[in-house]
This record gives sequence, C-alpha cells and structure tokens, in this order.
Amino acid sequence: MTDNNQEQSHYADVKPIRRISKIWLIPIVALLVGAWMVYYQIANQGTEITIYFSSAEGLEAGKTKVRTRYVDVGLVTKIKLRENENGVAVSARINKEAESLLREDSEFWIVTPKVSLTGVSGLGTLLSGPYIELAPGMSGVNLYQFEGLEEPPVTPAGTPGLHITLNSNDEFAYKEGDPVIYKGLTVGKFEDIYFNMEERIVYYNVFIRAPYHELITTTTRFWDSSGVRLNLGAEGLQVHTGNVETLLTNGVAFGIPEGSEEGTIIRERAYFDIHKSYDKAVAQRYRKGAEFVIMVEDSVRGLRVGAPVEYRGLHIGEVIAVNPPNEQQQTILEDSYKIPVVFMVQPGRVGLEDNAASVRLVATQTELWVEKGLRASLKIGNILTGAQYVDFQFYDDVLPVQEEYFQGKRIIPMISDEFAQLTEKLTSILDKINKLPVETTLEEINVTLNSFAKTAQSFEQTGKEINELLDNVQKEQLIQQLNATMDAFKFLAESYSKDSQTNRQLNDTIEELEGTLLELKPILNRLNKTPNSLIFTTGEESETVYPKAKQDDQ
Amino acid sequence: MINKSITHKVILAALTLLLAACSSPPSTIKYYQLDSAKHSLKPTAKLSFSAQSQHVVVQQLELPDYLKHSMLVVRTSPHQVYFSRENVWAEKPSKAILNQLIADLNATSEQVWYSSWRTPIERENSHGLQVHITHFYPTENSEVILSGNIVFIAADPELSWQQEFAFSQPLRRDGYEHAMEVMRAQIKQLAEMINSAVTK
Repeated sequence: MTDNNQEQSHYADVKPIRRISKIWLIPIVALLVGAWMVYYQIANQGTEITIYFSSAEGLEAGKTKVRTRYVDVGLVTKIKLRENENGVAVSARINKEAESLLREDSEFWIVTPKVSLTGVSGLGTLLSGPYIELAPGMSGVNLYQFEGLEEPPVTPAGTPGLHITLNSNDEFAYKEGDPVIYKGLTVGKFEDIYFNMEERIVYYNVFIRAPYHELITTTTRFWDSSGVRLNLGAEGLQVHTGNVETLLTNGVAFGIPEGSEEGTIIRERAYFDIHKSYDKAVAQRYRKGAEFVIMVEDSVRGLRVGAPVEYRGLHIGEVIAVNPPNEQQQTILEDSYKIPVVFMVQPGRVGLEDNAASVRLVATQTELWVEKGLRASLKIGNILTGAQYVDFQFYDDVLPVQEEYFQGKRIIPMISDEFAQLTEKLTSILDKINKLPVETTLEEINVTLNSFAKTAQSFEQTGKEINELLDNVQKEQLIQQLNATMDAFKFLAESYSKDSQTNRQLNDTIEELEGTLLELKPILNRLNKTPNSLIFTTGEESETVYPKAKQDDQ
Repeated sequence: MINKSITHKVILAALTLLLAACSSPPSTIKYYQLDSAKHSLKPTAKLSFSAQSQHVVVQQLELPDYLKHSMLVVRTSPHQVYFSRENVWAEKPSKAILNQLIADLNATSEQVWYSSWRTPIERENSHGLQVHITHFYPTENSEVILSGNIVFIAADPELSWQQEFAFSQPLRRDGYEHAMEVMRAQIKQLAEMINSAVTK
C-alpha cells in the first residue's frame, strides 16, 4: 500500500481513496468460524479430572469410559504413574453436562467382575472391559481431583438413612457389606472398618437405610447374629440365628430389649456396642445391682461369669466375678481356702426400677432374708455341661450366722448343694457300712459256705445214689420186660408145642399137603409119560382092579 | 355165493364132530367113608368115669403113606398096590381111623377112658398109647389085613409095654363098599385087642 501511494504522488496530489476488496471477507469469516469452532470445542470438551487409584488394571486411555448409573459421562484420556506416590493417576474428561456430578464427595471406583458371599456383580464387564463408576456427590463444592475407591461403596452417596458406628472388644470378624438385621430383615450394611490402635477397639461404620433408620433409638441394642449360635449353658440348649444370609456371613442384629422404653430416635451418627448375644444385650439394661459374695467351699467348676442367680426359679441376678483377685483372702494353697464368687441381685429383674434406691432396697431386703433363713447354694443347671448357677432358697433349722463382708460386700451364707448333700449322705452310709462287723460276718459266711459245701457234697452223694437207684429200677424194669418177653415167647412156643392146637392144625395141614402131593405124584408121572392123557383117554374104559370076594369054591 | 356158504357150514360141522370124537367119556368117582351112618345113629350109653378110672391117651396114630391120600388102594400082589382113581376116601383116612378107634375103645371098655391127643383133657397119671399101622388094605387074596403094633406108655414107665397085632378077614363081596365094611370091623377088632391088653 505504501508503494502505491508513492506512485500516486507523482501524478496528482489528490488521489482517490480505494475501498478494501470484499474478497477479504472470506478469510475473515473463516477465521471467525474457526475461532468459534475452537471456542466451541474448548467450551464443550468437558472438564478434565484426575482420579487416583492404586492400580490401573484393565484401564486403557481413550477406551475406558466413566459411567454413572450405566450412562457414559466421560472417557479416560491419559493414564500415568502418580508422582512421588504409589498408584496411578487417571485423567478423564467428563462431559460438560455431567460436570455438576463432580462434587467434593463424589466417589469413583473401578467396576470389575466380582463374586462374593454377598452376591455377584460386574458380570457385564467381562465383555466390555472395566469402567470407572462415578457416584455423584451431594456437596456444593466442586472438585476435579479424586481419590478412587478400591471397592465399590456399600452405600451410594446420597442414599437416605443413618450412619452409625458400632464397636466391640470381642473378636468379631465383620467385613464390609455384612448385613445388619432387624427381625430377620436386612436393613443395613457394614460400610467400613476402622481399628483404633490406642483404644484397641474395632469400630464399624454401619449404614441403616431408610425407613429403618428410625428404629435406631437411644435404647437400641446391637448383638452378634453371625451363623448359628449354640449356647449350652445352665439354662439349657439355646439356638440363635439371624437370617439365611447370616448363616454364611457375619452380621449383627438390633432391637429394643423387651421391657425397655423405646427411647428417642437418633438422627445423627451415634455409637453402639455390639453384644455377644441377645441375652447379653438384654442384660445390659440391668445396669444397677446389689452385689453380694458367697464363699464356696466346693468346686466352682461350671460356674461362669454371667451365670444366673435364681430365687425359687426366678432370674434375679447374675454372677459378675468368680474368685476375684484380692489381698485379704488366703491363698489357694491353703486347705480351708474358700472361693469367693461375686454376684449381684439386679432390681430391674425383680420389678424395681434400675436405680440406686432400688439397689439399697434389694440389699436391705436380702440381708433381712438372710436372717430369716435365706441361704445360697450352687446347683447344676445343665447335666451335660455341668454349668452351675447360684440358687437362693429359704431353709428351716439353719443356724444364725454372723454378719461378714468380703471386700465390702456382704457375704451370703451357703449351704451345701444337693450333690454335696447327697455325697454327705453317701459318706454317712459308707461310714455306717464301715462300722458294720464285716469280718465277723465274713467268717460266719465262710462257715455257712463250708456247711453249704458239705451239704452240696451230701446232696451230690445222694444224687449219685438216686442215679444208681434209678439205674437199678431201670434194670429191674428191663428184667421185667425181658421176663414179659420170655413169657410171651414161651406162650408162643407153647402154642406151637407138640400137643398144642396150633401144632395139631399145622400137622394136619402138612399131612393134607403130603397126601395131596402123593395123589399128584402118579398123575404127574402119567402126564410125564403120556402128556396127551390130560385130553385124550388112554383107552382104558374103567378100572378092572377092585377088591374081590373070596371064592369059597377055590 | 350160495354154494360157498353151504361149504363153510359143512366144514364147521365136521370140525365140531371131530373135536367131539376126541373128548373123553365122563368118569364116575365114588366116595367112601369108614363109619356108616347107620352105625353112627345108634344110641350109645353115656360114658362116665370116676376119678379112679384109668385114662389112656392115644398119643399117636401112625399110618402108611398110602393111607395119607384119598385114593383107595388094593394090594394086587405081595409087593404091589393099586391106587384107584375112581374110588376115594370121603374123609381123611387118619382122622376117620382115629375117631373110630377111640369110639370103639370107649365102647368096649368100662374101666378105662380113652381119648386122643386132639382132646384137650389132662389128668394126672394118664397113660399113653401109640398105634402104628403098617398094613391096612384089601388084598389080591380077597381079604383085608390090618397089622402093626401098639406101644403102651404107662404112667409108671416100668409098666409100659409093646404088642404086635395082625388081623385078617375075608371079603365076601366084590367092591370097595364091602372092603370098607371089613376095614371098619377090623378097627373094632383092634380096639377090643387094645382094651384087652390095657386092662389085663
């Protein structure tokens, strides 16, 4: 343009002003469009966030998606190791419309296939590959860097309900996801576990979902309901279980102990103890009690802390210590050592209020009863386990006792339990047996036995004689039978004797037979000679031989 | 056809006549008994014997073999006898002879009671008598002979004895009928001889 103005000054001073060519509009527009596109791209590309995980297993830049409620809201753009720390930093660009989900309390975790006792999840990722789940936060503060979770949160953020903390000194083994049960329903889950090194106590953060969170009151008690609990104690066999889920996993149940007030509904995080069982949880409400001591001379085997104290079958208290450490007492090595058992009678169990006044009343009343014959004893509640309990009974004819104390607690006098009484009776009987003149009796028994032996020998001899007699009798019988046989034979022989009828008949028969044979003899001879004579005559017409008269003439 | 039928009938008639010619003439057999009915029907006196009467038991009657069958015999020579096929005993010869002998003995005797071994009577001190007949038949000499011996076995053995006997009596008529009568008479004669010997 400068060169053009110099050429125009040679010809005229006044030079016409030339307008800018319209062709320049095109690049300008293009430039504007390009700028707008860049701006649009920058303005709509979304927010880039960084999520830190311990591992990037399965994640791929440009491929792994960020999802919330199964909707794609972003894409992993870059994966790199975390600087100066363990783990990886995953950069992801979140769509602009999902930027509102990026809050301070938003949570990210990697969804992979997972199989556990509580269920199966993430099976869809077997084909599609892992993805990062975004749990939107409720906080009003935006945040673009997050610590990713190793495991999915048990309770998604924003779920209505109540977060509480349970704690226990016992060796429970709850883990995240274990159920919290109310009357068999799973109404909450364990979220996380925290162990306090100083207190040596495990804390469990538990979430109770709405509307069941309103069941949590100031009087609510939690107790363990893991698996199946068998309790074979002084009160017999007891079986406890939660629901089907807790048969496989651990869990806690909660409720308001029977007879307790409902209390005030808790709205904010509160702390509760986990009791070993429902009974323990119930007993927890009887906090006050008048403590007494019994000095046991017999064995305390089977008597445990928590064992019931009964009066005429009613549960009025429990044992709180067996053989507690003390300085006043003798040592166990001494012969007359009595084992102290501390127990308390709880006013709450006998219909009184659970307060100090009731405790004093129970203590006074108990001391009065002791003067009237109340005695304690240890009894076996379960024969199988040998579990014992403390039993209160009134007894007649008991000697008055002096008022004694053990570590400031009134000692309730004891009487021997039934087994001990039985043992004493047996001992008494055995003593009497020992006093019996056993040796004299044994000598008499020996004499009697000798006499008996002689009698037996005599009896044996008699038996032999009887046998011989029987043999003789049998022989005589045999002889008689032989005689009878001989008589019969003789009769038979006589029947065939010479002059007998049979003999004569026999002889006659023989004679007839002989005669017949004699008659047959000539006939047989004739037949032998002339066989046809049986049919044909021999020509002899008649006999010519016959007796003839004597001729006088001759 | 007609001629053929007639021929068959003629042949059948001829065969019948031929068989008839072969047949034997009917033979007539005569039966004889030793004792006659006339003699048996005679009333006999009742014989009774006291305790003192002698009792003789005929213990044995032994006969020759030709008297053990039913055919009557005739001696035709001293060593030959003929057995008649048409004249036979009507009873057992031994039984008939014994019965007649006992009957004749008791009829003859008045002191001695005779019985046979067939009679089941036993008395103490009975005597025994055995009769052995060796010949008893009609002969070619027209006589009937009866011979043999008797053995008397007394209760006292020392009183026992034996005696031979032989009787001969002529036949006055022909035939077996008369011969049986003579034989019957000889039995009676034997009885008288025995009784005489016993009572002697």
